[in-house]
Amino acid sequence: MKRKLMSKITGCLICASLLAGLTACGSAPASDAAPEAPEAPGAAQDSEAPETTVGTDDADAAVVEANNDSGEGIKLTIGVWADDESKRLEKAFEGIEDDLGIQIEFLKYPSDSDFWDNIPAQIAAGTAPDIISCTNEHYLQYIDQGLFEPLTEYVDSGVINLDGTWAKAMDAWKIDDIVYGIPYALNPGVFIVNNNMWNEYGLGDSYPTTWDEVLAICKKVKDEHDMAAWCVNIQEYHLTNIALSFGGGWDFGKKIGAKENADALQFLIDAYREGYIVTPTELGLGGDMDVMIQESALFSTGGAWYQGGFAAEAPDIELKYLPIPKGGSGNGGGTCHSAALVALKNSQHPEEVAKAISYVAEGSKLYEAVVDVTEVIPAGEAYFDYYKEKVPALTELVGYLDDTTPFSYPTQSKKFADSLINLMQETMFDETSSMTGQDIVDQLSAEYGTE
Amino acid sequence: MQKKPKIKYKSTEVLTAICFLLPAVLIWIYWFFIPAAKSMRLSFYEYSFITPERARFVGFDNFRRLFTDDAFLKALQHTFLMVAVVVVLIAVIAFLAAVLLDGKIRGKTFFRTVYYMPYVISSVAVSIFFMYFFVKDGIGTKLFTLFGLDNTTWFTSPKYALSLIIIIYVWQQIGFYMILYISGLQNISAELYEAATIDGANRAQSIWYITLPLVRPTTYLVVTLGMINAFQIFDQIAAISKQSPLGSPAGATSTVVTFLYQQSFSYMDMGYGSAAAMVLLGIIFLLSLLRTFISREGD
Repeated sequence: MKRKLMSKITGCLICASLLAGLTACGSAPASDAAPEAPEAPGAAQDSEAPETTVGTDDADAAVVEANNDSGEGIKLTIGVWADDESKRLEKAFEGIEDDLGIQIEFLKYPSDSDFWDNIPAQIAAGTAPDIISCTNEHYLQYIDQGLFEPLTEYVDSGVINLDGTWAKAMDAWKIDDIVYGIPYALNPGVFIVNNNMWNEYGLGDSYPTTWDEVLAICKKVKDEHDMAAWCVNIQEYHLTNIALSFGGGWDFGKKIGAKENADALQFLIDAYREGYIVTPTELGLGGDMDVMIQESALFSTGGAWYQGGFAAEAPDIELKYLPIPKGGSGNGGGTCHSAALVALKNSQHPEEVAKAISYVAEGSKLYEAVVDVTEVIPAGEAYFDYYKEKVPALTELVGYLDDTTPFSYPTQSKKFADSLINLMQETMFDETSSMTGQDIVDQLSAEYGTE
Repeated sequence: MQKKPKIKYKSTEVLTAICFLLPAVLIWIYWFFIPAAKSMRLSFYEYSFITPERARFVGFDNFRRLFTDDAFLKALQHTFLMVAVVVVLIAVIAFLAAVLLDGKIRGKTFFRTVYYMPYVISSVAVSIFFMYFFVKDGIGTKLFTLFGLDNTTWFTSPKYALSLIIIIYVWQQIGFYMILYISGLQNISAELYEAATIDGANRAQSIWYITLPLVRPTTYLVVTLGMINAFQIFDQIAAISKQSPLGSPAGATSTVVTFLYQQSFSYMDMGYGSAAAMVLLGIIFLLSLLRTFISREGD
């Protein structure tokens, strides 16, 4: 009898606790709920959710969880994917709580793909950050979907001041005369050489300025050291840099099928088949910088982030940052990342978002943080000299900016990038493939071309 | 045909049963049934979860699009191939391992633990571990060159990447299915083997004529679970596709699950992704029915 009673009580208790749990799961208000990553089918145990950190020291004390028209006690969240990016923004936003009564909290995503995979789902769930920091690489499809809040009215009314912003960066963030982001950092594509290896291999005093010269060096290194000198990460960023240097580019889908693009891709395919190129995945490594750090290649395309990565992992290796070499009839020049602060759709506090962006964009705080913390070029032209003074190793990068071109992927940028990578992988990694660079751009043009 | 006697339960027993079942049923309804029903509805819409206000009913257009989409057909082909190979390998290897570890061998518990351990390790960690074995000149790659395969990095090779996924998955899952087989083997009476030995049967004949027929219910379970799980392989593919599109290299490891994930979350085409999910649901349902039919015929 006792056992029966016990089993009934146990049953009721389990039932009640599980129901309570279920109710709790379903009823958490959006503003209180931890941000949830969209669960990958079968991948629940390994999914990586963003990490939350509060940017100010006395965070817990000051939060007022309510709409407050005066802007006091409001907490805004900023989504970022790179650790150093959050550090520079933390520095830039220092003092905002005292000055404006706005508290800033950072949501850190493990990688850019986690960032872009999570943000749309978070917007749908009402748990997205108020502001994100992102680049002009894959932004078009999100603008097209209405994910980014236009900031034009705040710029026009003078709440946000964009005077002195580098014109190309401003153009990248102004689509059809609507401002979608406040650019604050610039990162031109460059050709990076391991100078230690360069000298050790006795490759001379002059560095390559054309891809044909690069190929000649690859041949020499291959013959003398049985090594693929050139690391190419088969990713849209690197492929776009090379396409642009050949005089090509995507031009939002209008120029995908251009001969220059076909020539650039064919150049890569041929160089790979000759054994001059190594890819990070073949070595089981995450990216091109890992290959360079391991000294498994002599050069690669990349950006200023190499400086920080090498300082941490391989401080003894000296790097040379060169302009992207010229290919075919092109004039060289790669692309340029322009990081910007973007207000996301459905923020509870749009006015405070504008005030917070204005707070960092005004004056020197943000630009100085960009230089001091991450050694990246600030988007304000007046701070180019400050950058040259503070980061002498990367001074040349400022001079490369004028030759850069925006990424200009078609609107379905992620899908386009995946197709480009898949076709390049198929051509390069499948020995039986007879696909050419022209076939690749023709296929892409048929699917994503706008002319 | 004799009717089964009807068991009468006391109302308190029924209440207790309901109390125990109710939480699980509610959770199932909340977390599985409602999302599945919503997904079914979405499959008839052009829908992005960011802009639900732009949702548009498109009837069967998403399904029509699926069966003319080369990427989906390729994913479907990979899925069937992978399920067929995985289920056969798992059933055979798990059965052999179970027979071996159910006999009188020293260190039986140790070996059972060792076989089971991969099952509890993170599949992403296991995949990364295997990737180091299967780079060019890696231990795994060199081993397979003895059978005439190329010395190449498997996870960048469209020719070998799917095989690597199968190897990783089978290696990790064997332990679980082996335990199922061991429990099945332990239900077989030792007297049957003794009688067979007296009749002159050797070990192989005992396995063929006694063990295999008597573990048939376990085999059905292994095949059903193995099939359902294999249809949903994701982690291993995501791990080897790192920094490349899901299903890399060149879509060689794309499956219906990776396809629907990409469409829904990366390309924000939730309606189309839901249609792919419905096709997968239909396939698993039909194969499960087929399996039930075959098992009834077999019995």
